[in-house]
Amino acid sequence: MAFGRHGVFEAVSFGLARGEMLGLVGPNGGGKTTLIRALLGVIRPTSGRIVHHDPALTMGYVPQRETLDPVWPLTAGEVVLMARYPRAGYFHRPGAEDRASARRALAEVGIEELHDRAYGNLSGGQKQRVLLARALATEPGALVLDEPTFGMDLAASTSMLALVRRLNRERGITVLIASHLLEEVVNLVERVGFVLDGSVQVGTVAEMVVPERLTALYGVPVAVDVVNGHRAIHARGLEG
Amino acid sequence: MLELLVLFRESIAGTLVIAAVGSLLGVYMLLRRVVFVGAALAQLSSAGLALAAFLASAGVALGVLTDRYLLALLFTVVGVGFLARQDHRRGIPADARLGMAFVLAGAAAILLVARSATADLHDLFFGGDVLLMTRAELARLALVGGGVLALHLAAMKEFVFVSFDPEMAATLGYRVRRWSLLLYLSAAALITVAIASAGVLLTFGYLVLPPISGLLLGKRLGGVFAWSVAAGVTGTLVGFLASIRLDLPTGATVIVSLGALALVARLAKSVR
Repeated sequence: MAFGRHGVFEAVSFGLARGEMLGLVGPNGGGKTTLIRALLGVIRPTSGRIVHHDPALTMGYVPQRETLDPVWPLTAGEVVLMARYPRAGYFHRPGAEDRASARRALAEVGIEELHDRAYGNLSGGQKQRVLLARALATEPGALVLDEPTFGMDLAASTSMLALVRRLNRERGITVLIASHLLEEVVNLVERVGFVLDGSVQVGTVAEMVVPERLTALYGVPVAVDVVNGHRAIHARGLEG
Repeated sequence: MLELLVLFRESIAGTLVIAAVGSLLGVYMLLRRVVFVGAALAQLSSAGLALAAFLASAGVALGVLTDRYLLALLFTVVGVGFLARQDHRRGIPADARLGMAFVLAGAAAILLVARSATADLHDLFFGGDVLLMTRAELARLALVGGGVLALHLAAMKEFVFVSFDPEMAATLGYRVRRWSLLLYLSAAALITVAIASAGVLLTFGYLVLPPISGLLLGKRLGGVFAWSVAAGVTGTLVGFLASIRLDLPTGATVIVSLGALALVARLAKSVR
């Protein structure tokens, strides 16, 4: 499967069970974002094809927030409301139900009070929550998050991941999360896929997050320590 | 003064149409950070007009095929196709493609005008000659400008969505490239008819200066559009009056007026 200048993937096949959390990790430039964009239909393969076995599954997309230009004078509420545009239909304005849905989505991620605030003036963590609310406003069966904690401080990223986990557990929303932050992802999900050079290897965290595989993935010696169920991952060779 | 305003009523009305619709379209150009697309399209349109003049002076008359508006529109639409691919090609940076289109189209237009027998196009590249606008030009501007305005009022949410977040729009089933193309084509249509009456500089001025005022004064997107159109209309009226009273070139005076309003908007924002 080729994507022009975006890269080439070998035959990639992986399942995503309803209600599960799957992480896609790998080095920067390994193809995570390309794979996600292809799954969502944002880019189309120049050769090969993508087969969804559950075409009825709606996917709520949470893009990297840096892709959105803060110069646009839109409020958080207006950004979330965009998720409802397809329901309103072309050339029609969103109705009262759409506006209520946008408010509910903001409330669900804990920032209803930001409804009328300018999106461009929000903090990184707040922007990410707005984008998560927008994805929820599509009433999705699955959430697809691309680098959801990139550039956030520890408190904001922890809070964001806790929110994603809560949505998964309480609402049964399937989650596909792509990140270059390996440790963060493997301590969140049940299964993980390694994306590198056009291939994807998927397995349980216990199978995949072992020094041999990580060393092969990143090309540097990697150690994995498990402390109270939490996996700590270190690149070796920095000790001195 | 009143007699002069009545005398130039077609010119004032036609320029107000360009002001209102151009100021609205310019907001998209500004927010999409493709302001110089407007300049390049205006220059391409002028090259089409110049080609029509050259063909006419050479005695080539192929009916509608050599119509000045058709050729101007053709050049502009080809330009839209060329420039709209900027996100999808590597090799030449996007701003270099804009610059290339601008200078080559400008040079081609100058050469064609130089080789044509008509002299009435020499103002095309500067202020245009809005005071000579005819009733037929006004009718054409009203028709095209009204159509573009109606399209934008109907499809504002679609244009905003695909401009602000094309990826999300694509995941929700929007044909982003088609909507973006429609946006640029609507700009091309207005530019084509505006260039013939108002010239490159004034047409481009409407795409840049009022949207800057709008962005400075509007807190929400709707406000930005409203302030931009208000600045375009106000700057036009002030510029027209000043040019008549001071006997200055109208196009340039209107541009200076639009620029002064942008400065006032900047000051108003800093006070606020």
